[in-house]
This record gives sequence, structure tokens and C-alpha cells, in this order.
Amino acid sequence: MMITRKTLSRRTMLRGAGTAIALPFFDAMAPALNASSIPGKAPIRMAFAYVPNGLDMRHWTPKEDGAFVGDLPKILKPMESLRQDITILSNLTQNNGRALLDGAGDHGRCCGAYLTGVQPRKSFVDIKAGISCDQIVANQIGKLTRFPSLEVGLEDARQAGDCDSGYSCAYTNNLAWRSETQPLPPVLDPRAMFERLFGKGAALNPEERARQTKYRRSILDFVTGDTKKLQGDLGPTDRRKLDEYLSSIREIERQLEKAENDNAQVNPGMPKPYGVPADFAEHFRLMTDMITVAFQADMSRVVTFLVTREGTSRPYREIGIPDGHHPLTHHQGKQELLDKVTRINEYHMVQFAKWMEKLKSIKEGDSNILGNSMIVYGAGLSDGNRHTHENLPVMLVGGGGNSIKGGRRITYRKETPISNLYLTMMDKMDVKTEHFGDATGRIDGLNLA
Amino acid sequence: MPIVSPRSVAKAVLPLCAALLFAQGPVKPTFDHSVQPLLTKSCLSCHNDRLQSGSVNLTPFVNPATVLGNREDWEKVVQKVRSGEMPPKGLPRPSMDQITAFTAFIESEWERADKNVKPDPGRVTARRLNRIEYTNTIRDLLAVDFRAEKDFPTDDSGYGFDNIGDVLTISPILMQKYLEAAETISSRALGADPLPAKPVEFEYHTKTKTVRRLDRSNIEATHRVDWDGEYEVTIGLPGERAKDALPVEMGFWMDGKLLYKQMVETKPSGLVYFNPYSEEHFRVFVPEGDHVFRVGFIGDEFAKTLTDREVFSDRKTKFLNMIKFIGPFPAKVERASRKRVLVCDPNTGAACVTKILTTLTRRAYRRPVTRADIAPLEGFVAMARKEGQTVEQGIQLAIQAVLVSPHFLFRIEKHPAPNDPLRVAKVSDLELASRLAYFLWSSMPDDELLALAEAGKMRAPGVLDAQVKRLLADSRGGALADNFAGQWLEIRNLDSVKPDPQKFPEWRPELRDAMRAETRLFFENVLRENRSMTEFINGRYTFLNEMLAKHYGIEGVTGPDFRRVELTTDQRGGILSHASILTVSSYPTRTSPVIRGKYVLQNMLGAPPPAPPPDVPALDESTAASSGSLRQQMEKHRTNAVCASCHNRMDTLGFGLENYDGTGKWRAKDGKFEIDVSGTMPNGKSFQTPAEMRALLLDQMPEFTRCVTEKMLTYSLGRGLERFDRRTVDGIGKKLAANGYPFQLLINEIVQSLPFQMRRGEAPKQVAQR
Amino acid sequence: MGVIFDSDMGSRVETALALAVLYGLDGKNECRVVSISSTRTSLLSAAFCEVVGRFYAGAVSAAFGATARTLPVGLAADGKIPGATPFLTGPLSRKNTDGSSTYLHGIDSIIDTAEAHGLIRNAFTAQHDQNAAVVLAGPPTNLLRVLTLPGAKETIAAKVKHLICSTPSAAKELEAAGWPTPIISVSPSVGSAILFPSATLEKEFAEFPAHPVADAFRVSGKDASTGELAAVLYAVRTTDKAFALSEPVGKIRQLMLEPAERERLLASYIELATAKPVVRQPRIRRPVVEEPKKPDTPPSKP
Repeated sequence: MMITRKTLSRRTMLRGAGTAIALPFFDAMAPALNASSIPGKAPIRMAFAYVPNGLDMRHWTPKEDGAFVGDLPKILKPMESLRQDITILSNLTQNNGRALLDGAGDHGRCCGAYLTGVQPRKSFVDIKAGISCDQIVANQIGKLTRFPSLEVGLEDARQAGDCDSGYSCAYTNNLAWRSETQPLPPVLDPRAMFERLFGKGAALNPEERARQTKYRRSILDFVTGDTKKLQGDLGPTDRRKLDEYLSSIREIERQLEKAENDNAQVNPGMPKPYGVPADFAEHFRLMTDMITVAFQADMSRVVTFLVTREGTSRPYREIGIPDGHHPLTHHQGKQELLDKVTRINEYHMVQFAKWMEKLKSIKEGDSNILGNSMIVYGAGLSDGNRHTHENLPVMLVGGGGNSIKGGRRITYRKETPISNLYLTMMDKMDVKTEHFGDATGRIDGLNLA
Repeated sequence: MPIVSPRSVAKAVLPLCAALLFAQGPVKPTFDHSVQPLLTKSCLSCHNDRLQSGSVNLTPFVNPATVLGNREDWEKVVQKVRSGEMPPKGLPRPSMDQITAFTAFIESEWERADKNVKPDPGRVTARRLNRIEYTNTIRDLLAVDFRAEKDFPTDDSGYGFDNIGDVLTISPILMQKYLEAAETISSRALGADPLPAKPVEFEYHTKTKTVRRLDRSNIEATHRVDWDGEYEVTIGLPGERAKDALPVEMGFWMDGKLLYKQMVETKPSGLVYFNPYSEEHFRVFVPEGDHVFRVGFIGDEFAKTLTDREVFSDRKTKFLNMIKFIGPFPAKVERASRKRVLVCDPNTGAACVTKILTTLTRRAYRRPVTRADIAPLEGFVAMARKEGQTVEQGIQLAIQAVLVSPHFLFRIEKHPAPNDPLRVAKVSDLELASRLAYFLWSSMPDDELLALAEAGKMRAPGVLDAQVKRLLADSRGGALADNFAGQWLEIRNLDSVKPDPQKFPEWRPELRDAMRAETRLFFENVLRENRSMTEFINGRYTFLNEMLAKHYGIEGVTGPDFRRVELTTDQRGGILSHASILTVSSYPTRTSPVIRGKYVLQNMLGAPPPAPPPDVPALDESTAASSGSLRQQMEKHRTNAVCASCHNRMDTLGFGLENYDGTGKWRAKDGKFEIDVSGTMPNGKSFQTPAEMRALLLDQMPEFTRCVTEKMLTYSLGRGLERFDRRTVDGIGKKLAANGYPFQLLINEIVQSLPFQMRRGEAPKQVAQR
Repeated sequence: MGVIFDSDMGSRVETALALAVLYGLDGKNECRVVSISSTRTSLLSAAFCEVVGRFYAGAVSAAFGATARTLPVGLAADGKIPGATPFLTGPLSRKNTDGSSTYLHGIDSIIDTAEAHGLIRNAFTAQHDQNAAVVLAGPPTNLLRVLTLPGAKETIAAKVKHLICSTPSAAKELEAAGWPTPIISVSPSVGSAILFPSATLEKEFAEFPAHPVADAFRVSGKDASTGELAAVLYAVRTTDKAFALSEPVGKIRQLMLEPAERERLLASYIELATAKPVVRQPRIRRPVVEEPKKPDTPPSKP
């Protein structure tokens, strides 16, 4: 389906009409893309979906270790149809989210540490964490796909004021860190995501596209040369700033090259979305639909998905909760507030489950996309009331290419670093790393057995 | 006489004796005399080795060497003693003389030490344009209306502002956006994109609930425009008014800016209609982007005479119900952006192409350009020609390159010895012009500034002051209200707050916009009229439209337009009674004295409370329950000594604002509970009403001035303040106090200050590891 | 000062007494116990450590709704030193009159314990520079494994002031493995020079209705040697006149006793080992105040 200005305009009118439009995504895709058709052995994908402010652990952890018995706990209920595809990992800990002499700011810290495995520096400006595990993977296998990694989110970044007790907003706005000092901002707007994946020039003909690529290349060459000349006269910090700029240019050049070699246009299978829908579920669906297409067409294998910002005070009127999420999690044990937190946790899970079901519905070889994925759903805090960093809620979804046996809960020893899980996942992505963050080794028990 | 050790008595008394003996006038204050007694008696009883109250142990500070050696710790001590926060309520308070002698001695020591330190202007990291600066610069450079804030990822902020060089990073995504934006903008600037063959129609109608009714005479719709171009606008006007009704003026606004107006006949047409109806048509040029369009009758006296039942009756009156756009059509007049770029006809030959590129690049790079700058751009024109494209398309390509060049995207300042941290140098006139323009306009310097800088006249006597005056008077001076005040006062957070519609049914986007406008207009008034900064605390006027006036319960303000309103009651005054500020400092369902208290301390008094101790969630006020008023509940909570030391200070200020609800509406009761706003300031003075609290805050003008100065200096420099900047801040504070706090003086002083005028190098360093 | 205590808890009764001394010092705010681990692959060893920890934690201030976060106990899972011992089974099997266990703990399986080397490393990360001490009373298995973690040596060098080993062999092994801080090895004569009197069971310990360390002590009932107690006390009170250090051989110095101070030292052991649990507010931090260097102005003391 070709996206034309005409269809956009129609959508504009619909949007003006203020109605939430449910796009018949998979219907529109049929029959072109109801099955993935990547040649060769199916790739393994890795994704991290992050929810903020901890979870209500009473309704998260299944009672028994080992295979699930009976009903899943309340928050996991929406995953019922996928119960054989999920593994609950207990007792994993993020030590670097703890204060460790840096005082308050657990929200800022736990998100900055979540995928990096290092303690973020407490600062407004001089930000520093570590390279995140998804980026280690993207650096190694990213060249195989058009986008080394995709960063997605649903909540606009907070703009003014201090984000958490002295921690820069960079720590709560981002999950992925390309380097110690460079977080990768998530894309929030479905339209921007669409244009990033499928290009603004989805309507250009091959000749025009070739010319565009050529022009872009020469422009990038031109500015690279200019920048290098400029750098000679600068002090160290200024030089570092321009290095950042140059490394971004190199990344774009690489993408251009990739796109050139890869002439097949990916069919988005959906009309171009317009702006951010007011409805949370709709926004969630649009973004995850696009990730699904990206997985399906092997445009990227690594995704981080910041569902909402750590420490967010977003209310959930969609489900009748007018209070902010963060204040609610400081429930002090009050039942009424606890219940609301649980409902928010469930609401997130309902959306997530729909996405997982979608991934499972797409055949790939004799498996499906979910079977060839490892998707971690979790939070950087377990108890949002007390800001605890041990026994984090961690759910691993997907078969990791027929290598993970789901349908059970595995409890590790106390204080086992969550970095051990990441290291194990990197192994499964064929990314060999000796060490990551505060890992003390790999974790056992994930393998089919 | 307090119990002190004999030795210290001797020390305290001896100099006195000496002074008497030799009659040498006043005693030279010493540590032992001015500081130690107070420290020992008033501080050490709790902050000692054993008790360490609040994790503070001052025993090691009974040592004169610490005054300079541990200056940051001492600053906290002095601040707490001076503000009266310490010693806490209930403990004996030292006499005012003692306190003055205490603080005076310590500060004189610092002053003495500072005199020997070489002034340090600091160093600003190369700044890339943030989203707002990018938008404005494109507007001023090419006359293209491009909204970077809708397209680019959010800029991270530091020190409360989003223009801090150190945190403005570039990611591949942003780079991609720059590249795409350059393509879009250059194409729009030259009008190169073909318009669709057939115009498209968009209709917004009350029937389909796609227009909002703002009031009896105004409707509004949000519309995305996909192409720069002219559009035929049709306004639907049902109904008719009485025979003797006068014609009324109809206006058409885009994003609050009036684009078009005309008179509209309202009396019966004489034709027989079942449903009387008429339309008005006009054509306007509209730039690409998401816009809010409003159409309404200006000064519509007739509508005010109607009863609520009559206002939308087509038998009784004429009103508005529809906005329709048909377009785009090619513009009849040449677009401004083309005129801006094509200073001559490029088809006349290479000389003109060079001229076009030189003119544009000088402005884009904000400096004179050299042959080396232009030659590669001419190469792009040639490249496009080789591809079989026109010269104009070649120029478009060159513009694309300019717009992703580091010279355009970054504000880079050169230094004669970039690696020498001791070498201090003036920033060049050109760099100064950019600093000034981005400070006051969040945009590039205009031709006048650039010409002055090129001629090396920026620092000629009187020039800077005159330029500041000129820049502030320009409409672009509003950037300071949007970007500085918007972040200083956290007004930008209005976009993300979501008051609960159940508890605050009056909350609407229009109300939010009105709140924002009030604070913005107030700030601009103090700025442009050069009013005293005391008006921020206790100004006796504000700016309202009908919606906000109703929200405040103020009579006699009608229509959607804002106007200055003198405040006649004590309910409101100064910015702390602005609904915008009261809303951003509340929870979605209720007020939060803690957040509001913290807000005042942080943004008005420059004394942000320390973060709560580790592992402790911020003291949560819990939902107001039936067991007592919020205040009673919180006071019970505060019996915990650990919490009380900070919360006493915060909550007093916060409770002082409890008469304003979560959206800033005045209230006498919170639910069924009486509101008790009374409180006692740390310095012992007490108040009964918000107005009295404001009056007491006026006592703290030095703190307030210091706070605003620090924030504005941070904003103007794009870096966090360092210890060495305190001399600049102190100096400005004194000057403001001596002159009655005129706001423009602050700006002039900043522009003339050492850190704004100079920079130093930086030692090549390993980034310090923590 | 944060103290990391690693032992093969259960082999000797003096290890239990040393732990009691350590918590006694903690109760006096002289140090904080920041990590407890065991090299004995026995759940009972970990359980006993936890029992002692809970005994001393007492009721932590319930302000802020916080509850005591007893740290997990680290436990080596390699099985090199297996099995329970009477010192462990004795106290742990003690029952109340109604048949319930006197000492509660939460260790029912290996997953209730932490991997020892990871736990110890994490404890280091939460200490101020040069403000941690490591006491090793037993074989060095866990500490050797800490040294293999990437970056651990740097962390240890930054955070740890010194390591005190109760046996010379452990000290030598750790030195050989590259332990980066000064190492102090308790001279073998120290332990036997002072014996912890079993008479305390009838006197000081008798004041407690139930005391897990006393119950372990009761299993042997004999006076106990005190080398590990000396290791703990020295780790915290480095300036105590009772102790003397030899000249270093390599990185290692020997810890010895001043004979004249023996009696006072014994009194300290008894006082600390039998101290009552102290209920205190959690988290009190000493501000780091550096004395400025200015030789010409001697600091004036009030």
C-alpha cells in the first residue's frame, strides 16, 4: 500500500473529528505479511519493556517454584493464553540502583542502572552511566539490519525542573545508552516512528530515492570535513561534543549504505499514523504494531520500550484512576491505593499481552516470531513504596529460538545480579561478552530441559 | 553568661581589654570572639560527636581554618543561622547582634580570601541549538515556519534549563532529524514542493464536535496544514440578529496571531430561510504545521445581551459554527522565504549564485564567511546541475548542507589558547552578538547586531545597553518569557499536568492556555516596562481574560482577549497567586503543601530543601481522608523529628497557599475542613493570610534577587554556575538592591558581567572518575 | 567503618563469639556490619548467621513504614566444607515450651541465601573510600572468588582499609592472589593467650532468656580461644593499645598482644559479646569533614 498525501488528509479530518480510530492493522496487512519470510535461519530478537514505579509484587509472583500450577497471579492473568511462553525469574537484583552513598533518587538511579549495570552518576548535567546491554548487542549484530536498535516510549519526556533528587532527567527519560554519556531517546510519536522505519520518502520513486541518498552522502561528507577542521582549535570538552556529532553522522552514513543495499521497500502494512493518540491503549498498540513489523521484516533485532517514565505521575483515567501513578505507589500499605496500583499494573499487562499475542500469531518457519524472541518485561524497582532494588519483577517472554522453556517460575539465589540474565541473553544472541556491568556469571535454568 | 570553658572566656575577653586599654576604636572581630561562642552554645549541643542531629556534626568546625577550608559546609551553616531556621523553634535563640557578628565575620573572611583569587569567567561548552532555538533561527533565517519541538526528540535539561551546553547531546536519531528537516526546510523556503493537483477540503463543525466553543462569540479548531500555501477559508454563520443590530467585526487567528478581519452583516437578509444561515469566505497564507485556528466576533456587545437559552438560537442571534479550509492554492505574492534567499536572479549566472550563498551563509553561520566556506556550497549547486536539476534546486541543496553544518547547528566559541585553563580572553564581538541574541531572543542575531559585531563596535560605549533595550522591545523579546520564565517558574509543566476532571470540572485546555498566558504577560510586563522585581512577589495587578477572571471570581472581564486588571482584593497578588504556578505545584486530585513549599524555596528563595534521606520515599501526604484536615494529618506526620527539620520550613510556605485549590481557585474550605493558612517564617515572623505571607516574602528580596540572578545567569550562559561566579552574582545583587530592583538592570548587568563577556581555556583532562 | 565478616561458621565456637563481638561494636555505633557470609556449604551455617543477625537487629524504628531489611547471608555453594556441626544444630534445634523454634530464620533452601562473592562485592560498593574492613575467620574461598570478579580489585583497593585474617595460611593465600590492601594475620599465640570464660554462661549471658551465641557456646561449655575475637576488635579499634603489629613481611603484618593489656582486653570481649541488642534508627551517616591542612594554625578545641 502506497501512502499518499490524500490518505493523510483524510486522516487529518478524522483526527480533527476527535474520534479514536482503530486501524485494522492485521487486516490491512493481509495477505502480504501474515507470515515472515526472512531467508535463512530465523534471527533471534531481543526486547526490553520497562514499566515504572515498581510493581505490586503480591500479585506478580506465582506461589510455587517450577511449572505454573493453577491460575496465574492477578497481574500476569492477561498473559494466560501465553502461559507456556513466559518464565518468571525471581530474586534478581540491581545493586547499582541502590543508594551506595549517593542518597535519595532511587527512581532516577534504578532506571539509569537498569540495562547498564552500573551506578549512574548523580548529576544534572555531567551525566554518566554505562553502555547498556541492548547497545552492546546492537553494536555487534546491528550491522545485519537496517536499524541496529529501536528505542520506543509512550510518555513525553519531562521538560522542566529536576527529575529525581539531583538525577538528570536523562536517566528517567531513556533506557538505552549508546555510550557512558550518550543516552538514546525513545521515539514517542507514532508518526515519527513510522517515518523513521519506513522513511519520509515512502512515496519517492527509485530514481529520486537514489538521488536523495547521493545528496545526503555528499552533505555528510561535507560536514564531516568541516567539523574535523573546526575541532583542531577547540578545548577538550568542545572537541568531545563534536565527536558526538561526528559519530552520529557515521551512524547515519551506515544506515544510508544499508538502505541502498537493501532496495526492497518494506511494506508498512498500515496507514501512516498521525500524532500521539490520546488513548493509552491505542498509543501502545500503534507503537508495538510497528515494532512487530520491524521484527517481521528484520529491520531491527534489538528494541527497548520505555512504557512510561520512571517516577511518572501519569493518572490512568482510562481505567478510572485519577491519581498519579507515582504518588499511588507510595501507598503506605493502604488497601485502596494498593488496589489502584495493581490495576495500573494489570492495565499495562493487558496491552503488553496483546502485543505478545500478535508476535505469536506471525508464523516464521515452523515457529513464530515470539518463539524466536526474548522479551523481558520488568521494572527497576520491586516495591515502589519502599524503593527496593532486590527481587525485581522480571518476566521473560518467548522461546529465544527454541532454547528457552517457559511455563514456570525460576527462583535464583538472593542478590543474584540481573546483569547475569543479560549476559545469558547476550549469549543467546551470539554476542560474546566476557563481562557485563556487575554480573557475577550467567544464570542457569533457562535452557530447555 | 552561658557556660563556656574558661579558656574561651579569656580569649573572648582579652581583645576587649586590649581595646579598652589602648582605646583603638572598634574591636577587630575574630573567630574566637564572633563565631566560636555562638557555635559552641547554639549548635554543638545537638550537632556534636555523640548526637549528630540530622547527620550533622559541627565539632570539627570549631576551628578557624575551616571557615575557608570547608567553605561549602560553612555556607550552609551561615544560611541556616541567618534565615533563623537554626537553632530550631523551642531552643534559645542567639541575639540579633550575635547573629550579625557571626555572619559578618565569616563573610568578611570569605571576601578577604576572594580578593586574592583571580577572577574566573568560566567556560561554556559548545552548544548546539535546542529545539526552540532551532525553530526561531529557521524562522529568522529563512522566514519558514518549522516547528522543531514537534519533530525533534526532547532536549535534556540541566540546572532547570534546556539550553545547557553540557547536556545537549546529539544522537543518531537527532542527526537523522536534522538531515530530514534540512530537506524539508530548504524545499519549503524555495517553494519547491509541488502542491497537490487538486485542492483538498477540511471541515470543522460544531455538529461533528470538531470545533470547540470558547464562549458565545468564539470557536476554535486544531488543524494540520500539510503544505505552505494559500487556503480558502469559509466560516459558517447560522442565525440572524434583530433588524437594528449593527454589523460586527469578525477576526481569524492562527496560534493566537490575528491573520485576518472583516465586518459581518448580522441583520436579516430579507430572504426566506427555514434556518437562516450565511457564510463568509476569505483567503489567507498558512504555513505548514499543526495550528490552532480561532474565529470570533470582536467586541460583540450584542451577544452579551442574550440569555443563556438564546445564545445559539438562530432566531435570536447570529453565531459561529463552522470553519472550512480549501487548499492549498499557489500563493499570489512571492513568499517571504524566497525573497529572503533569492537576493538576485540565480539564472543570471555564477556571480549571483555566489552572492546568494554568501548572503545566506553569513547569517546562518552568524559571522562573515570566507571563500573556503562558499566554495563547497557552490560545488553542491554544480552537483545538482550535473544531475540535470535547475540552479534553484542546486541552491536548495546548498541550503540543505548549510543547515546540517556544525557552524549552523552549534554555537562554537573560539579561544586563543583553548587548552590553557588560566588564559582568560574576551569573547569576540561576533560571539558576543550571538550570546546576546540567543539569550534575549532564543534566536540568531539580526542584521543590525551582526553588522555592529562585524564592525567591532559591540563594546563601544553605550552600544550594549542600547542593543539590550532594542532586543527587548522587539517582539522576539518574548522568548525570554517563554523559555526563561517558562522553565524558571516551571510553567512548561502545564502541558503535562492532568488535573482530575471529577475534582476540577472547570479544567480545560483553554483554561490551561489562559493560565500560561497570564504568567507570560505578567513576566513580559515586568520586563518590558522595567518594573521592580518586587512585583513578582506582590504585584497588585495581573492579566486576565474572561475565562480566567471567572476562575478567579473577578468581575467585569469579558471576552477571550487578555488585559491588565488591577487587583482590588487581597486574594491575589504576585506570581504565587497565579493559577499556572498553583496548578503545576499540585497533584492531579488535590493540592500539595509539600510540593508548593518546595517550589517557593527552590524557585523563589533559591534554597531548595535537601533530598530526603536515602531509602525513604518522599513524605507522602496520603490522600486527604476523613479523619482530619490535610494540615492536621500532616502535622501529626511531622512529629517525626527527621522529617520535621525540613518539612517545617517547606510546609509552612505550602500551607500559606492552601487557600488556592489544585487549579489555583480561591477557597475558604477544603472539603468540609476549614483552611488554616497561618504560619511562622523561619525568622520568627508570622502571618495569617496568603497576602500577609507575600508581604513577609518581601523581606527576603535579597534571597529572591539572588535566586533569579543565578537562574538567569545560568540561562544566559548555558552552563551551571560555579563557585567563582558568586562574585558576579553578589555584585549584581548589590546593584539591584541599591536601585530598587528594576528588572532590566538585571539583564544589563548580566550582559556586562565577566562570565558573559569572557571565557577561559580548559586543561586537557581525563574526565574525573567518580 | 563498615565490616565485612566471612567465616566457616560452625567449625569453632569462637567464630560465633567473634560475631557477637562484632554486633556489640555495631550497637555502640563503632562500626556497621555490612555483610555476613559463610564458606561452609550448610544451610544451617547460614541460618545460624541469620539468627544472630536477627537477634541483634531488634525492633528497627518503624518510622516511614520501613521494616528491618536483614541482609541476606552469603553462602558458598561449592561444598568444599560440608555439613552441619553441633555448634549449629545445638542452638537451631532449641525449642520453646510450646514446641516452636526459639530462633526464627528464613533459610529453608539455597535460594534464601546469596552467592557469597557477589554479596561481598556489593557490600564494598556501598562503603566510603577506605572505610571498610574485612574480617576473615576461616578459609579464604569466598574472598578468593571475589578477587576474580572484574573490577573487584580496584573496588577493594579503593574501599577497604585492611583485611584481617584469623589464620596465617589464609593471609598468605590471599596475598598470593593479589589482594590489594594491607593484610593483617592474627598471630597463632593470640588466640590461646586469652580464653573466653565459659563462666559467662552463668553470669553475663544468663541475663538473656535466649541468646543464640550463648547456646552455641553451651554446646562445648569450655573456655574458648579468642583469636577471631581479636581479629574483629582490631578491625574496628585499630588504635587499641592492647594490639601491636609486627614489621610487614610482604604485605602481611602479624597481630600480637601487649601482655599488660590482656585483662582489659578480656573485659572488652566480654562486654561486647554479651552486649544487649541496641534499638536504633536506621541510617545515620557521619558527614565527611576533612581537616584543612594549615600547619601554622593549631586547631583550637573548645
